[in-house]
Amino acid sequence: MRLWTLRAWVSAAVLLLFGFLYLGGEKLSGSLSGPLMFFQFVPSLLRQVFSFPALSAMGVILVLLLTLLFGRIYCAVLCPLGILQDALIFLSRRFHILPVHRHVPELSTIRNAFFWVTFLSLSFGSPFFLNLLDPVAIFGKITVCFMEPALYGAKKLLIVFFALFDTYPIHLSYPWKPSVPLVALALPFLLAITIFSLLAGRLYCNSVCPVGTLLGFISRFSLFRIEVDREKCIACGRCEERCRAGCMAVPERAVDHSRCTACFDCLPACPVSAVRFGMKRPKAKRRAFSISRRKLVGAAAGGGLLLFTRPFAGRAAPEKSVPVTPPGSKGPDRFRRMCTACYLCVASCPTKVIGPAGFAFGIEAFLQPVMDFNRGYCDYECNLCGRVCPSGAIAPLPLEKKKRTQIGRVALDKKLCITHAKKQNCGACMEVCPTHAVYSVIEGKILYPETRPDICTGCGACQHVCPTHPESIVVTAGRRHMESKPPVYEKAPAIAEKPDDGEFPF
Amino acid sequence: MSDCQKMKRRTFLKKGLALGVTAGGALLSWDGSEATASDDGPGVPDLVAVKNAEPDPLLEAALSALGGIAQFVKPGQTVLVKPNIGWNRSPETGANTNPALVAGIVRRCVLAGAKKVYVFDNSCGPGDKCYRNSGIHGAARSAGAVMVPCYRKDFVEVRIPGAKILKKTAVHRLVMDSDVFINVPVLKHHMSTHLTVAMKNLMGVVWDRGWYHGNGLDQCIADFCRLRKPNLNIVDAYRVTMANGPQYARKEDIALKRTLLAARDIVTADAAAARIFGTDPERIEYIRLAHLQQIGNMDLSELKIRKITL
Repeated sequence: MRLWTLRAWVSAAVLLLFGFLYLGGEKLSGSLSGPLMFFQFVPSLLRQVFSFPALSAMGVILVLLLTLLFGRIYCAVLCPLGILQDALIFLSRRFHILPVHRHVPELSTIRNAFFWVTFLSLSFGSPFFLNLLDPVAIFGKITVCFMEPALYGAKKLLIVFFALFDTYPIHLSYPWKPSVPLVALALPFLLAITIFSLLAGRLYCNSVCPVGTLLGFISRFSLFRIEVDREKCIACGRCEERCRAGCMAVPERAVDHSRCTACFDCLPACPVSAVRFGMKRPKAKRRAFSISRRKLVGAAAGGGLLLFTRPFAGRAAPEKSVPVTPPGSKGPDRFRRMCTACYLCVASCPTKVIGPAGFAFGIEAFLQPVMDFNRGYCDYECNLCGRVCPSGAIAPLPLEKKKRTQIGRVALDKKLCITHAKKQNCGACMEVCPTHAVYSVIEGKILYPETRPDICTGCGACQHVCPTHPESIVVTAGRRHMESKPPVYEKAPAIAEKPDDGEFPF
Repeated sequence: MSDCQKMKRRTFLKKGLALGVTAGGALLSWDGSEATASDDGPGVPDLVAVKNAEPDPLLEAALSALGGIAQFVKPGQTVLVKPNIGWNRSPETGANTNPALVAGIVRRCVLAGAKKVYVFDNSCGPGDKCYRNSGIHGAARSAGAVMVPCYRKDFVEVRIPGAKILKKTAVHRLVMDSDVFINVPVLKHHMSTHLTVAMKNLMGVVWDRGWYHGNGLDQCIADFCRLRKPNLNIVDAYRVTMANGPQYARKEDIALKRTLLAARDIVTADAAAARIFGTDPERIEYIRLAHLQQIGNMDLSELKIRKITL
């Protein structure tokens, strides 16, 4: 099969799989996350850095090797944001929007600036730029912000359709609600990516994306690359028109390998087969696009520093603004350092409790998800988020361990509670507590809620159902997730005073 | 037309048939052993209590004592069977209605000529998991029912005449549109109200059950029964959660009582269930209020009860 056809089909398959990963439901998310996310650069890098050496995080090493051998294959067939752009470019060519590209000079200042700002801020303990610019994170937020509601709408249409036949195979367990902070994040990126790809191909990948820049440092030296045979070349310019990365310059018959995103479309474009994907020619001159050796050594040293010195000392978030983070994250501080903001946990959470934080916890947590008990609660029988998290920010917990993980503690404000303040039965919280951390104490006709914070897991079911506004029963965040004490059970309640003697009691 | 008038008419017209049914019912058994029964004289009973068998034989005995399923379902009618499918728990936990019982009811409705039998509950947990893990999805569908998930669009605003607090709510259209409404709760201890049975089970047909909690739980539960009283209430007391209900009880909290109660009057059903549990109906506030406000009758001493031990 031709390289460009292979690339197109593989990348289409990967994009489809990413769609299933984010939108396909619990079983698909759980099983696809491992294989797909293994090769994703930033999640794998974070996992490698924090649990070095991690066999489960070899993806980042493999991608680096792959790039060293074959160029930016990651950008062509593995990166979901890259494939999304390729899909837009494909559509624009098919519908003749702007099918022709030109060679553009490397925007090296901008490109390097984004890379170094991301790297340095990470070294000083802030994942903010990484969360902002990681292509998987951008893809994830765009998918959750736009594709999830689209799918929800499609489900609603299907429900109406099936109802015509009086059959109801689809459940809509948790309603989708729009989120202003998420739209504020995802919409500008979606617009930028769309406009850039339609107008200038992979401009984002070659001038903003820090992963693209890092891989670009390496792909300059790749063993296999796009080469132009100067003897055969007739300078017709077709390869340049076809190149979506703007990296082919016809007059010099040269290719900027740091920007080539390995789409291989230039191969069939050449009428005289002067363009090939082959081994590096020893005497090839790359002066037009070469980078100084000093910069390269600096980049390599920086990369090494990143991997081996673990500079994430991290500043702990101030006490007032500590969010509740999912079970498996072991605490908001650790979570903050390791989360890549890919939003896969947000997409997969079946009860929709994991969601965008907004500004509630400061600018740095703005991009990362938190447990939001207004949106939902954490299902006692679920441990999906840890199973799908690609960076290990949420570590996978076996269900029995998850049921004893305390992500927060229940706190009841008796002045706000309907039952305590107004002597009126409510009991919404007691009904839903899976461990009986909230339980009832009977006084006459009233059943009063009382709490046992030690056995609370912080699932937030009580807060979620509390009918008062603001809620009288809330989960307060745990700085470090401890093990909760085991659930407590009451003996038979006082009202069952007449034991069953085998006869009917009436 | 009130339930009281319906009952009197039925009793008058079917005295003779009831005599025959009573005699036959006494000999009814599935496993060959002698069934014992007692009742307060001729006529269709207000309450039937059956014990000591599997759900299907219990159901058969109870329905026979009431005149058979044909008393409740006529050919061509649509039936709503409303079990408790509130929780994502498996059948052995007794947190939801026994699936075998639901299937038995559905099957008999289909045999009685029902055009459609619908089953749904507005679960407290994730709907798809509750439906499946409770076993009710599989059992009811095999028996011929249509399982209906809950969509907001299917809930219609209604006013409840005579209600003290719950003057209006959004109720599932099946409650308003179905010809026959059969309520099939499971008897359990409940942290918020002491007990959950037939009246509390109807919290699962409204969209916003949370409103009840915030505005006077017991009175709202009683109020809702004024809207549309189920034609029949069948209480599943096969596995009764005696403590730590409604959701996370231990194995040792579950008593295998192998009992079933059937009554047209929802308050009667609850009162009888309270006695089965071991308490006085007076102590359960929503039962007391419903009786006081003449929504139904909790005074079992006034009623005709048929007791069957299989």
